[in-house]
Amino acid sequence: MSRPVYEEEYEGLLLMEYEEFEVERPSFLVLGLPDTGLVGVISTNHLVSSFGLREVAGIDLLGLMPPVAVISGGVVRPPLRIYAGGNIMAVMAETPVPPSLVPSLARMIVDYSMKRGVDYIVSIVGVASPNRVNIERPNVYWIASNDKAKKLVEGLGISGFLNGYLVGPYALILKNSIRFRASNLVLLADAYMEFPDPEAAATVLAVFSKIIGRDIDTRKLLEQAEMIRLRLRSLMKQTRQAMAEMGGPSPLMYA
Amino acid sequence: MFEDVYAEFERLRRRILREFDRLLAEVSSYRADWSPDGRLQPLYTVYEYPDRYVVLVDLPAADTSTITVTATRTALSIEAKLERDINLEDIYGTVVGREVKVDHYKHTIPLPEDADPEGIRVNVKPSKIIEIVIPRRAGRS
Repeated sequence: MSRPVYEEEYEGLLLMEYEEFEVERPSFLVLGLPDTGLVGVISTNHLVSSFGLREVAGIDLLGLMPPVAVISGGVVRPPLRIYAGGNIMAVMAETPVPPSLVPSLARMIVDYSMKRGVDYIVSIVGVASPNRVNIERPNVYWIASNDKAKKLVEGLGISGFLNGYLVGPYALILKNSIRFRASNLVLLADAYMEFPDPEAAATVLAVFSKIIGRDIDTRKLLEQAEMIRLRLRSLMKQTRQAMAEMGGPSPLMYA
Repeated sequence: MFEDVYAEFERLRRRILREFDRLLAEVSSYRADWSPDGRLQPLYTVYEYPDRYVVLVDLPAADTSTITVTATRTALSIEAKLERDINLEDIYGTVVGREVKVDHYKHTIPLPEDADPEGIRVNVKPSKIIEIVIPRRAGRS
């Protein structure tokens, strides 16, 4: 963690920019926060590596318990990292967001996007599908905070997410976007609730690729799927616990 | 009417006990998702339907020809070899696991009282996720 050129603190969160950077328009901020199937984490990870995005900023959770410093490549890095390149920015988290920090994080992300003039906040989410094991190609659904965001998916032939619920940071980011008139598009893919799901990530990326009009090669992602699943086991476990604390849907909810 | 109340109470009591079992299993296994003897603990999910339990187990990089599933009245054991030895360093990219190699999955999942292991069905999916279906004995919940 180098000393930032800009920082802001908000209710237990510290956002730092390590350098001055510009993002081309129309700009997209893609969110990869841990939730069902880690679909967002896997997707943004792939975007960062295939587009060669640069780590330009980060968000530290000041009150994070247990107290942890993530050391990577010999330097201390905050658990949420922000990458940028071309017209894409991506937020990627290496730890589940503790439930107590979800409201402030949601507020900070929407606020920061507006300050940076981001055109679209794109949330990538997994939707727990008990039948996922029998679905070869997961479906992708969308929810939009306003008409501008809705236009992104027009003509792509994917269905809206009509009934159901979102739990966790993405839910509040959507509500805050509506409240502050930011354009938030939520892309949801059928996913294993408790297993990392690279196939679901590849399916969402195919949709995102059409939205931004740029190729995203997901072959490598699918080739490495098994290693990704192996590597993300611990994060998946922690995420499952955090989601249980937030009262997310549980497979044991059948009475 | 009292019988209804009793049945409902009994159903809740069993459910609470099951949740406790699951929580205990989770807590005791929380830190040990690998062990120095080369064992990896797989991720799994238990779905509960009125007539059956469905257990999904995620076995990435497993050699599917070596998967064994055994069930007793109270527990389900899953074992599988990995296709090759994997260094923890390669998985996590940290120096912490440099000396540790993992070569197999092994885990035991407690089964609820009404599970009927006689009727077990195991389905290995091409994605290396296994689906284990265990019927529930009728007349109990």
